[in-house]
Amino acid sequence: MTNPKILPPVMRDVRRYLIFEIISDNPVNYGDFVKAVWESLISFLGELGTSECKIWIIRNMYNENYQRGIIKCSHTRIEHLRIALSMIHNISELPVIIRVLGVTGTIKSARSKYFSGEENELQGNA
Amino acid sequence: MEFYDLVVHSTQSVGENSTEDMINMAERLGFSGIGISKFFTTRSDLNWELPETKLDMIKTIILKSKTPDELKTMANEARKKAEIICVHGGDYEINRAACEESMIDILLHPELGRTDSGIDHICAKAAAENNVAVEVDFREIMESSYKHRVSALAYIKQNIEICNKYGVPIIISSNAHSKWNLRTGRDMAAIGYLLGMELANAIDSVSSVPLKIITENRKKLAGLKWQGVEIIDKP
Repeated sequence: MTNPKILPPVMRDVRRYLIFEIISDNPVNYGDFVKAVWESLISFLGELGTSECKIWIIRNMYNENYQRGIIKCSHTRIEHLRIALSMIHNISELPVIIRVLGVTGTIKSARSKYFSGEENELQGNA
Repeated sequence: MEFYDLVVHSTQSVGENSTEDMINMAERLGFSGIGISKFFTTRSDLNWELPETKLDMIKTIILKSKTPDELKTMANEARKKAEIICVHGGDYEINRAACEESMIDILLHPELGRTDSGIDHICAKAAAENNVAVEVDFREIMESSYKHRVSALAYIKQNIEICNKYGVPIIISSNAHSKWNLRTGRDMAAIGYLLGMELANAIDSVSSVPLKIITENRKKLAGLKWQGVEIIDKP
């Protein structure tokens, strides 16, 4: 099966990477978190609104020990995603706060700013 | 950026968590100051101490009254001690009385339990004249769902539109009843942006607008400022 060719730069979507941290008493697993995010997005923004956000939750960037991860989103819908995340107050009956640490333009800068000291201690940039 | 959340409930009022728990969580979320609130029932409610922390601790008194006259009497009493005076809105008569009273700082959730937005152009004009801020209640949006959330969003959006037109200051606060209801200042500002405010104004409504109210009231309590007169430097 052949894939479509990569679009020219001006035709590609402009994306941003939102780095979040889950604050809770017990660790939250990735599956439950993803389910909660989609539920919140669809209930708050609706199906059409969510489709415009072009959300992609990056699985291999989710760190279950430090409860941090990255969500890819359209650059015009960052505020919508922020609100949808802050509307989550329960994940599988565990009270949580999802705190947005920052927004970056590339995964590389997200990694260097928020995931650099992973072995020792993550930086708490707000 | 310094963020402030002026209405937070601990076990001192109707909250579930202790004041210390709320302070710890607020510190973790990057707030510069939080207003621990208390409902005003008797005079003894005005004499209370807050623990000293890194955060700027603000004493917020909430007036919950049934009639406009009662509200005025309560405001007169509370003004001598409280740093921030809020009015529990919801009833149109109370909302209007709060907007027309210069001793009041913030009108909380004017749309609570109503089938309309709770304030009109008359209230908004009076609020702008008397410098009364209108609050956007974040918890009301967060904890409701379906029809209730839809109507809350619609009424808050209408209030923001009216306030923008008449130049009424807007404040976004969490009105948290538990430490899990708190959100970062920037996240709360995002709801203001989505409901029709400019992004810069939305960020101001959780930072510079509350800060301005606090500094002015502290000056008044310290006897450095009166209506129209201010001591800038003592000889």
